[in-house]
Amino acid sequence: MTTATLTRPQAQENRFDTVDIKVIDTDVHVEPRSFDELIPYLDAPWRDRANLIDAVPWSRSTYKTLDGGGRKDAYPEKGDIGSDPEMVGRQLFVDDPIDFAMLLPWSFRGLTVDPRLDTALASAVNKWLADTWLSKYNAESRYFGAITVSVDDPVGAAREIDKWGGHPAFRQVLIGHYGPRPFGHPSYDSIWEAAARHGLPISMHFRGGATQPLGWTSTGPLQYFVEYHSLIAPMAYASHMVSWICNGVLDRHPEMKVVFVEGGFLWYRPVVDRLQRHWKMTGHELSLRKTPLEYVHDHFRFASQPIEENTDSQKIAALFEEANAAELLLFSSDYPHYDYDPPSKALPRSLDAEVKKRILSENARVLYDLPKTRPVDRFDRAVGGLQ
Amino acid sequence: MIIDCAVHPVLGDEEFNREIGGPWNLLKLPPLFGDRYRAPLDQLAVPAEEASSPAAVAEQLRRAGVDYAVLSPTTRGYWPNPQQATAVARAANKLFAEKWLNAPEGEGRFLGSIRIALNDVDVALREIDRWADDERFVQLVVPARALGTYGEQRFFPIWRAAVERGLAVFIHDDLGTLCEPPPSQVGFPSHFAEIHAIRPMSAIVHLTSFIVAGVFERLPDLRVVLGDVSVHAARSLAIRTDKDWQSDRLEVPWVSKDPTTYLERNVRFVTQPDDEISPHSSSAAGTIGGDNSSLVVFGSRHPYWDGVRAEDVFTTWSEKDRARCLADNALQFYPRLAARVSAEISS
Repeated sequence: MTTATLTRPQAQENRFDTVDIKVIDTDVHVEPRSFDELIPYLDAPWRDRANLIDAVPWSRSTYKTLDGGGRKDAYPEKGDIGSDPEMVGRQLFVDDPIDFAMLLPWSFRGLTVDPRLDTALASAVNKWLADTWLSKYNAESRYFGAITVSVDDPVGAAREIDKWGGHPAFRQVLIGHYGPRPFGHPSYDSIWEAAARHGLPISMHFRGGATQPLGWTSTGPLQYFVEYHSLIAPMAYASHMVSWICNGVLDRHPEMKVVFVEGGFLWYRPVVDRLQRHWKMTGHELSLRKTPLEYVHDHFRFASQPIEENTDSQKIAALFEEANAAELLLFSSDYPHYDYDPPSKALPRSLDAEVKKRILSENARVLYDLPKTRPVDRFDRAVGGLQ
Repeated sequence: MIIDCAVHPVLGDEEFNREIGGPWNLLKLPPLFGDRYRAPLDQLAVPAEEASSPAAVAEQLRRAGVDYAVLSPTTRGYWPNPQQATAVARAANKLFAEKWLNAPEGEGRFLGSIRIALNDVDVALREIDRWADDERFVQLVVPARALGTYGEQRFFPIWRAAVERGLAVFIHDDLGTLCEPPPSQVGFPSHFAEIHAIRPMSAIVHLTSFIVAGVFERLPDLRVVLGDVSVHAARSLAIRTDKDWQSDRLEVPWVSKDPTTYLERNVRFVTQPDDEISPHSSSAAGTIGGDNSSLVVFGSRHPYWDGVRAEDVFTTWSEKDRARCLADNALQFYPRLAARVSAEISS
């Protein structure tokens, strides 16, 4: 039993009964059944050019896991992985004790060379998500959405955020890891301004699709997926984090919050230590209000999957606690991908129980301003039954 | 005993350019620290003439109680023109051998590094042969930011030659020609503070590349020293590579051990100013995989601004572990260093 260590909400007869929120998953990927499902959501003139958008690569075999990419048991009989609401709901809320899922659609594949096309696709993804997973499939209100934007079109991105910022189920903004300059560059500022104004955190999830540069580093291209998947996200996130700090973005937008998804956790500490060590000397020209570690504490959070592991459970737990996992870490599963972390196994065994609780739900609940309880629903009643 | 594994003699513009010779000496050398990112501080901790003076550096090392120092000059970045690159590397080696290694003030303290240009591997191998008979050269130096990752097969003959000649390989940030790739994969940051913070990433890419491409598997005796990377930063990413190797080792079947094992066997880390404030440094056992006290070699980074003094190194460690960091680890790691010290003790 993968879920044995977590107490499950008891099935209740009274439909107005509520349960406490214990697990919030900050990285769940849902998709249309196929691209055709997105076409009606494209604005003119892009609806007539849907073939152009459909030709944007979903993923690229330059760097790709040989494992196939998806959880073997998560492919529906019809349609793409992550597209069947019954299967997704059952796997998240029945097979595993997840209460709320923060949806990060993959359908916006990455940046192309055409920022207008990117924004057209982002806009369609948002309309589609609002219409399906955030309403039709969301009778139980278990799903919360992210506003997909293209960082390569900052004005269009801010417009998208303004369009959906008041929608009750959109709780964050979703961006990829790639941009031609680190994200503290002033050209991106309208995006951060809009997100902060609406009180929406920014979720950064690395992307390996579309036609943006992949796998290039400060010293040439990586050769293998193993290198790519372990280094690309944390290295990009580190560059953006340092850039947001050093360029005063967080002083200009004190409400801004960023979640780094699927890029690891422990790396941030050596990077920020290095920035902090000589801050008096290197940072004095920047006229900033806080120290780097204070900015991290006030503005940055990290999603847990794929969690850093070690056979020595105590040692790894000590590292997590030293890096302030109690405040900075949020549980994520990366459903439905091959390296899914179930909530029962996502965290080091030896981690303090209170810290685990915060990581599994409380940190995300506060960040996204989600309710403390939810009504008992059909998924709860299905728990324990045969599927 | 104290062995300082990272001292950076500055080859002065005029003498360096004279040594580079024609026609390249018709051009000006780029500044020592490049000119893209202006530091809001003086990047040399001593006056420029002292940084370029063997006598002054020797005096500094004597005062600091250093018994041996591994010196590595920079060659001001990645030179795209292969003829020019070769001329610059050769001039650096010649000037360094004549002026520094042979300086009487060194009193036998100075050990050397062979600079090679990576544009043409055959030429680099000849440059190694030119100097490697001199046992005082203990390592090669290659830049942290190159145009390829060091696990690429085209570089392999260089690492093989290093092993055959008993030379370690030192990776050190060396900038200036403006030809190097941007310091981050998402383009150019805007400030010195930013590039200083993310500087370790390039060498971590090479470290990962050596491991994943199987270079350490094919050359188990290859010794790599990283000049700008704390062991904590390297481990925090290697723990991710361990995991990706577990799930995707089908792609790299030659990698027979988990990546961290190669890191511990084939790589050492020069002490960084930030080592001591890392939450993971308070005890060697506090780090994943345990023993960092055998992975760190003392390097003062003299004459750079962000130097480390021997007395400030890992003050919370036991005397025994500190002693390993200050000398024993280097003695065990650099093949030529051990030979040299044992020869001196027996003579």
